[in-house]
Amino acid sequence: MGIVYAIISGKGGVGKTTTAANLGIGIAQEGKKVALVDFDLGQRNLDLMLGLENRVIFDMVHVMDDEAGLKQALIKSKHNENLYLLAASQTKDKSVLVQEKVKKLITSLREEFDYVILDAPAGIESGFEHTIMYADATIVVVNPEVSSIRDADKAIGIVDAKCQRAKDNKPVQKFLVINRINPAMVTSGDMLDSKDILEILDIDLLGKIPEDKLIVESSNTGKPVILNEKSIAGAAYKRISKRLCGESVPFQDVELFISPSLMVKIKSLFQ
Amino acid sequence: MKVKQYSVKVFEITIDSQSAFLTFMDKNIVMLKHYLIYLRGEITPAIQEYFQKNDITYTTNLNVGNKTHQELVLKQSDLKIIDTRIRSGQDIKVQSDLLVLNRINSGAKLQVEGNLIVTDTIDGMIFCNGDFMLVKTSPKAMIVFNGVEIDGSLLKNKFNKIIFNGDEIIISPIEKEPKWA
Ligand SMILES: Nc1ncnc2c1ncn2[C@@H]1O[C@H](COP(=O)(O)OP(=O)(O)OP(=O)(O)O)[C@@H](O)[C@H]1O
Ligand SMILES: [Mg+2]
Repeated sequence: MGIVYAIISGKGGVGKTTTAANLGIGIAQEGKKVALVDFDLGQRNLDLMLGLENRVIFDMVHVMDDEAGLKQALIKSKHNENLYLLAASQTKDKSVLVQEKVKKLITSLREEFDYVILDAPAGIESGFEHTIMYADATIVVVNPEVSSIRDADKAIGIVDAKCQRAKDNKPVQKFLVINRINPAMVTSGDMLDSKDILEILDIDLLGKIPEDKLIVESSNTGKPVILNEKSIAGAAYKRISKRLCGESVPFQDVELFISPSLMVKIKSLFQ
Repeated sequence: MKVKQYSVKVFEITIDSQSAFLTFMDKNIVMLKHYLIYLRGEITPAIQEYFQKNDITYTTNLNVGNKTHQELVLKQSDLKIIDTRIRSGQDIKVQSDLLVLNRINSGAKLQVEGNLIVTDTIDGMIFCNGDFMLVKTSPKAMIVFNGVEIDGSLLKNKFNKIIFNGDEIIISPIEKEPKWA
């Protein structure tokens, strides 16, 4: 039985899809079978980031409506044979999502894969709620800015109140990725301090990703930055991927403030 | 012409018997002194004299519209405790006294009819209508106490005690951090 992670942020454009694509590859590189699911209906771009835009024939809506089988709709990544993508529908919007069908889809993905990563849409509307509903844990992506932190705070509150695990009185793990850290701005004090962010959000730090212009380049070419040995952001995504696979990778320089319980919480998801 | 506006707290009392009323007044005179008393029932000469002697203002004719009169409740017996983070978008209303042992984040709103103690940082909005409030220095918070917005720069102590004694709001420091046993 695989682990289902929802990648959320509240505020849009902070790096959810980038994070999903990179962690998908990173975890696949650890030898795990990974499914990436694009829940951003009507605005799909995970296929673009993975360089699979012309391979999408069936999408998740086809699978949920039984117009295609799961195996038919899953697209194998060019970068790693352990990684598969289930694309979002580009024509239908999120109003087509129905809870029962989402549950069925996630249940069958969980049976096939070690890791199922759901890329949530921006905001906290119904599409977001469908994404978090059946997840085992969430990865919250923020930028070091007040507006991003406040929106993430609200999204976390909704996860705690509404997801199925919360309703079942089970713990809902939430891990934080702080993206687009600009080392120069951190030293000059112009950026929100990670310590402050962690204090406000009160969830465990999973890792930090520096600002890296190679990310833009790599999204455009459909080759996530984790595949680029020279990228510092890629190295950071690699460390996070290993942590999610249970390996206790030491936190580096900008990644300080790790909680001692992070690895315990990640490993609790393995049963 | 000169116009002044006051916010007055009113206490409504219905007189059933003169002696029971006067006993009640004697017992609660310290508190009732600060209120405008709205009397209903028969006002005997002895009662009139009592008010004059104690210099308490009363009225027999008060148009409060159809606002509901809140019963005075014993607040101490009714305390709610919140020890989870109050996050952006949450809007919590509490009728009793409240003790908050966690942060109140920016974008969160808390409305308390009773007394309020918050032991952690407040970045959100607080509305408290109780007799007292105890809060940390909270420069980012918006704090409204009995309808009056408290200037954040006045809360410069590690812990601040804010008291409403009927007609004044008094902010005083608590120098020593209380121990929450
Ligand atoms: N660490 C980074 N350094 C530089 N650019 C970045 C970084 N992370 C993300 N970006 C850029 O930010 C933009 C938004 O990223 P992405 O699409 O992953 O965000 P998102 O949260 O999925 O957005 P949406 O809410 O619209 O789905 C992209 O152009 C991406 O290349
Ligand atoms: Mg996205």
